[in-house]
Amino acid sequence: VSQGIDARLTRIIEAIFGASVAQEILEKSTRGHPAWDSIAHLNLVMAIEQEFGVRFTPEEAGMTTTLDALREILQLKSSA
Amino acid sequence: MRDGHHDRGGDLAALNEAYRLARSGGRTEPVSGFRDIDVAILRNATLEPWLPHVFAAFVARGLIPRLWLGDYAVYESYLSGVLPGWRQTEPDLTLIYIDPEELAGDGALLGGASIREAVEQRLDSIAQLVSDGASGTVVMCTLSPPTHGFRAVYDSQATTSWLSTLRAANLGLVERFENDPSVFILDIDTLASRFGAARARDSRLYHTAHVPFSVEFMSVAARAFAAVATPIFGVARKCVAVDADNTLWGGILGEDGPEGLQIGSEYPGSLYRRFHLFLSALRDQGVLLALNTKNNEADVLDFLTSSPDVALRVNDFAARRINWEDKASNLRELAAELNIGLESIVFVDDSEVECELIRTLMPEVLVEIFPNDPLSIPEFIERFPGVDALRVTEEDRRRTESIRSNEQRERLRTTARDLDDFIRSLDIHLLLRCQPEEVLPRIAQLTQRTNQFNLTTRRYTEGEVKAFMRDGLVYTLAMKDRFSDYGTVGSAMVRLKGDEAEMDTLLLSCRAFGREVEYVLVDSVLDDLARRGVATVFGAWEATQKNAMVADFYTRCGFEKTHGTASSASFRIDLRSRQRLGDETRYLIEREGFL
Repeated sequence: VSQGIDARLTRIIEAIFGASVAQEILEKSTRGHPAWDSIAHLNLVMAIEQEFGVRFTPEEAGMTTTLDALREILQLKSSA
Repeated sequence: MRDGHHDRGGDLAALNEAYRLARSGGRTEPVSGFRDIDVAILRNATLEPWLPHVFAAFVARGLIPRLWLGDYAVYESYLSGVLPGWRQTEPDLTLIYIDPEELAGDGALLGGASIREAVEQRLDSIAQLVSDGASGTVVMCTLSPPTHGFRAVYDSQATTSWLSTLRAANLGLVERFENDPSVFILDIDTLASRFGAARARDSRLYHTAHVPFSVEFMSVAARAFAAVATPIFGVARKCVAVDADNTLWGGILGEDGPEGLQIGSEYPGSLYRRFHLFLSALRDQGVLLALNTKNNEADVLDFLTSSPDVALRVNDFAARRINWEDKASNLRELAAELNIGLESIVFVDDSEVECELIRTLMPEVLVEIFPNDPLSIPEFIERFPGVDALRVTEEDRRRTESIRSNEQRERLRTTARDLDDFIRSLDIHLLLRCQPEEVLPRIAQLTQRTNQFNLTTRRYTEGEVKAFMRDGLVYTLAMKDRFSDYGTVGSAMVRLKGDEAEMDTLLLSCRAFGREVEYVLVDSVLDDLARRGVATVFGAWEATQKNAMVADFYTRCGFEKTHGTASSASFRIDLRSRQRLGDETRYLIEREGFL
């Protein structure tokens, strides 16, 4: 399941940021990237919600500004 | 429209990717079959996530938008030029989105006389700047409805409640711009109401990030925006070719007989009648209707003549093919008869097989399958693409009429001895006008729709034609004959530079072909220019797929060719030593506004 999540997440990140920025984001997964601004974050959250059929609360959406946090919350939500 | 993501607002990752790639592409050449337009959006809410939807909706209609988004809530500063940015993008199209809750704050809950007045004043100041100074075309959004009642009972009783304020403001916008040639309304209020006001806004996206639309509503609003832009920028279809059985009525004429058909005031006939009324309204706004059906011709004509229940009569169809031939051949003949290209046609049929045949053989034709369930007809009509008109001109109403009298004229032509006699026998009355502001919408429409007799094929909006008149001269030609009044059929747009003039645009509607009236137009324009002190006139031909017929038109008018390739040519004429063209005694000619 976890690998499935990663592949789908990677596709979304590449779609939104483009391959080279996505590469940097995926490598430095624990820190924010300058391209990951508030608008990109909105687009990312909406696309993830659609792809995984989940809905983040405002608090969850606000916290998940790193790739690890996103993975974690998706795992929680999809196992629930 | 039919993809699986439709109800969820489209595949967001794919939409974002397409939009990102389009922005970073650095494309310099136009894409064949598409038109690039600069679109600016002035707003007071977070519309960034909406842009990929707008991009996709425009591309689906043959327009590639370069999108520019203004800063929050500074409408007046942009429109008046105090704040740079908006003017510098020279937008072809500007959308003004005003979120009422962002505009009024607490007032959007409490309402009251002072709030109503404040909202009216703000809209008034924005609208005034739009009327005065906006370049390009402006699309003004109506104010969206509140998602939840606040004092639900009271608010419906008082004219100063927030609800009443919104209603009055929206009607005020429509009234204010109804006759403005360069401002159109995008009715977000009605769209959101039909969609469900509470579903059109996502509370979480709105309250946490000021995004005014839910993901699902983003694509609805984007498609509606693109639908308003389509007729302005000229990619609308011109003709609807319809089937008869199970489309114009329920049932099959050949099997059920005229008595057994479903059409009229009772269910399910009432829904088929609704489609008649829709087609009839399209006809009134200038769309050509064509009938393409496998039937016995006499049966169909008899039914459309004698039935008390139909809302369309035989004469509402500009052309008909009622026979047992294949529909693709029929469609090709209909296009030839109506003098239009296949890309101008929407084909409507209830049969999967017929639709597939046309899709395969004629990919240019837009194919719309008619619903089997009559209850789906209202939705089919609501989504019917690409033929919507913004404003209905008088010429639109006449078009079917004049095309039909073309048939009568053709019959006369075969009996007339030669072209001269034929032209004289028509009793053609020409009205030439210089700077006729009253036909601005028609001039813009001619630049948008004329393909064959169009020397440069430059497409203009009403606002652009109006702007052109400020520094240049715009001439029009209107025509009537003993069969029909065609209204304005030709135009010339001339740029002036000292004692030189350049023909920016010269065009003639195909409805006026074959009568040599184009020479009267050119003669009159050149005479008028000479009287205005012009010595030399320059003309150009720019090739398109359709306008080969006029490649040497200027030469026929006595111009000298100064340069020429397969795709363009330049011409010039000295007005001091030119010969007049044609024989004007064949027409009755009037001129207005000429020197």
